[in-house]
Amino acid sequence: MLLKVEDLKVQYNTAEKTSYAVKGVSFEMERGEILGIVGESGSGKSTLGLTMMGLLPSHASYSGHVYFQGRDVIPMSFEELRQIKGDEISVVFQEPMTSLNPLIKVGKQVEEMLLLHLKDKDDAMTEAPDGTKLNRHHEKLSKEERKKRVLEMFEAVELPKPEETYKKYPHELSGGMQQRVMIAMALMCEPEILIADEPTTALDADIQDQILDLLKSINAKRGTSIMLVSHDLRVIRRVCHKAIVMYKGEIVERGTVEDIFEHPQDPYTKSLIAAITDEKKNSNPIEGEAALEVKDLSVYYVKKSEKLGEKPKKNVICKGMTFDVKKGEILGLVGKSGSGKSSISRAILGLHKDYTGEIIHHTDKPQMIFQDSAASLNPARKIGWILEEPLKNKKVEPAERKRLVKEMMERVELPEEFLDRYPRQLSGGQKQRVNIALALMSGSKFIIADEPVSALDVSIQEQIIELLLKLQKDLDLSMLFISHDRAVVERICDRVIHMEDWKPVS
Amino acid sequence: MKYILKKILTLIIALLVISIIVFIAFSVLPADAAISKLGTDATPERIEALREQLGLNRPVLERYFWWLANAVRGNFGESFQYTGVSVTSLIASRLGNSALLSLISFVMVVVFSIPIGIFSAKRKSFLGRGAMTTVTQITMGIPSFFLGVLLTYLFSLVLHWFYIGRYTPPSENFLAACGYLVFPAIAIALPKIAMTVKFLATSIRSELHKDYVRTAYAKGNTRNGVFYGHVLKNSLVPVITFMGIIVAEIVAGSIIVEKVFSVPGIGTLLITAITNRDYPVVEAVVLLIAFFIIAINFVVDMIYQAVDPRVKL
Repeated sequence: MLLKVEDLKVQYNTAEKTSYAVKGVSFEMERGEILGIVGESGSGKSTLGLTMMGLLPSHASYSGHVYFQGRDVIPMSFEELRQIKGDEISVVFQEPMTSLNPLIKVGKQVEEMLLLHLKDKDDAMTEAPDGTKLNRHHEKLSKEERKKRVLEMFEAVELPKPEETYKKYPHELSGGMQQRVMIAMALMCEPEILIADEPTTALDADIQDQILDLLKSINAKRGTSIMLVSHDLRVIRRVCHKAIVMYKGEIVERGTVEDIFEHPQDPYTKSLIAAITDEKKNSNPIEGEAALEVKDLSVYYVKKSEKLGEKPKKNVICKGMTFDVKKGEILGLVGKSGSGKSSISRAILGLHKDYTGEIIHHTDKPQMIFQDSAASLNPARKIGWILEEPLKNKKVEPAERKRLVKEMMERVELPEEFLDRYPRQLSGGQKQRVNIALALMSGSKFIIADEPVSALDVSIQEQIIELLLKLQKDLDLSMLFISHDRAVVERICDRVIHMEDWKPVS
Repeated sequence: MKYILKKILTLIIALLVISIIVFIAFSVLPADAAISKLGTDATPERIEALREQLGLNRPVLERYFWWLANAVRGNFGESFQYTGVSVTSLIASRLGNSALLSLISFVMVVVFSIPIGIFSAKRKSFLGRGAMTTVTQITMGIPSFFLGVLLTYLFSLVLHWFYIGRYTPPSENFLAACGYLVFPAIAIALPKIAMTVKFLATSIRSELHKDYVRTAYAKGNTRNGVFYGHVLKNSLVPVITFMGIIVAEIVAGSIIVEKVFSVPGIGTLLITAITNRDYPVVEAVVLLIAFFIIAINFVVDMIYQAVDPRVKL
């Protein structure tokens, strides 16, 4: 038994309240296993890993046992645990950019692992399952030897041009490469367990797959056990052997990944699985009039010149883009982060003027729904006031305004009492419902939804998607749905177009 | 390249604007160099003759352009007060004293504020933090010239560690000069040390919550390893900019403190020149200080770029 967790409880104590993050959790992990821990934010899944590493903030208190190779790490002193950290248990975090020290070259940061864990081990040579000898003896390595090891590890995690990458600073690398550096760092001392805490959440879809494949191959080649923490069941299914489903600090389901997917027992697990299966919307292509026509659209930014006397540069986001959104259709626009999806929506709304080509609206001015549900609601006003505002501009009588707002609240399935609340008193999902209501309030039939569910938990995502589909049907809306998440887009859209198809050739 | 050109352009514009402001100020002020030199008892004829001689009766604009034409050639003219003495030689004879005073003050700020800042940031208890904040707040609030008066009273009049007015220039006895200048330097540096301590401590505390610090712990660093290997350098990056401001304030602050401690430096020269309406001297000194401050700004940018790989100028 590599890891045995017994009745682990963690709570965070703040001046206002005590919140229980983990409520008496027990599980085991075998050597060589990839164990997935699934749950949404606040389920306590990340707290598990942090507790094992002694990385909990000072206002956290905990009890229980975490036996790592038979030794309980919970009562260990800082110094005892320090010797294990990085050497036998290591971790990869969600945000590779901020998790690396911005002022130190990445090669040096990885090399630091060798300098930190210079101790004798009796089992200096261990054998990996595929027969390769792994040296676990880092003592008295010369500078050249250390660098050689780092470069070897860079190659093992498939970083291109190891020698050049060694000298790079974190900001000079892409997100995927930064995460590979983090993985290289975590593997430098050949740990027994690698804790990967949402390692792909901050990355683009195709990079996510590469990193997950890398983790799988590390497990196969080196025999490193991996604890993969994620909110995304697809990630778990792709990589893990076994999984634990956590909900509000408790384990609600456990077993092999096949078991969990084929015979889920707990209703929460069932809802999670339902959210990712039955993915495609079965619909007929919609014919008829267009709500929006875009012809030969090129959107660009004017970049100030770097040198004196040079003409300003055009930074082209898309070129020759032509599409239309039919009345009553949901059109998906998919692209990576930074691919300029949002710039296109701004151009359509008339907020971004630097474009050529034609944008023809056959409906009223489109309304927007944004990713950040909190940022678009005035924090100083009550929901009722916020929803009435577009009607005030249209000079609708107060009594009529109240009636329309109440009707809208019913449509987006929010209780009437919420009209007297401030945005901060609502959850993320509820706030997004208010945003949807706000977009519909002006009576516009055309909605641009820019990553409307990306910031929400999986189960809430599902509810918001259901709501959007229902509203689209009831009100015969047309929608441009922008997202980086192919699964969500396939679930909701009638037709999908891809940013990549209109990228300028560079 | 573009950056350097931009800096040079800023420098030229700033110096021009400053020189114009000084000229305007002097044309608005009551009395002029002639009255100030001869005294109010002198006959109007004598004052008028001196004005003629100094060129003061010509229009302001004409005088300005005449001064500017000479200044760009490096000729700042003669002092009105000390007849026949060039402004350049007046400044040159005092520059060393002021430079040494500013240097000692700056070294004091660096040497004391960094360790105290680290010590202050590490205080975790309510009491420890409160005590550090109180001390820094009080020290920050004392004006340098007032501190100067206190220091002269204590060290000169009571303890006799130095004698006010008995200053030896560094060219004669370097150590003796340093020994005397330590006291005005304390007066200048103390409030600046308090400011830097507070700034550094705040910077350290905000760094401690960043993700890379968690990574550093996860790697198995000791507490000191995390602090000195990762946190400190990151916390010092914003302090570099802050130090640039501090240097400018030291130079500005030394003007009055020199006077309090009777140090024959640029500051004393400037104050006397203003009282005597000796505008060629004032122009030159003000421009020199402005030039220095802009140059410091440039040096700070260079250091910033060297320390933080994310900054490209």
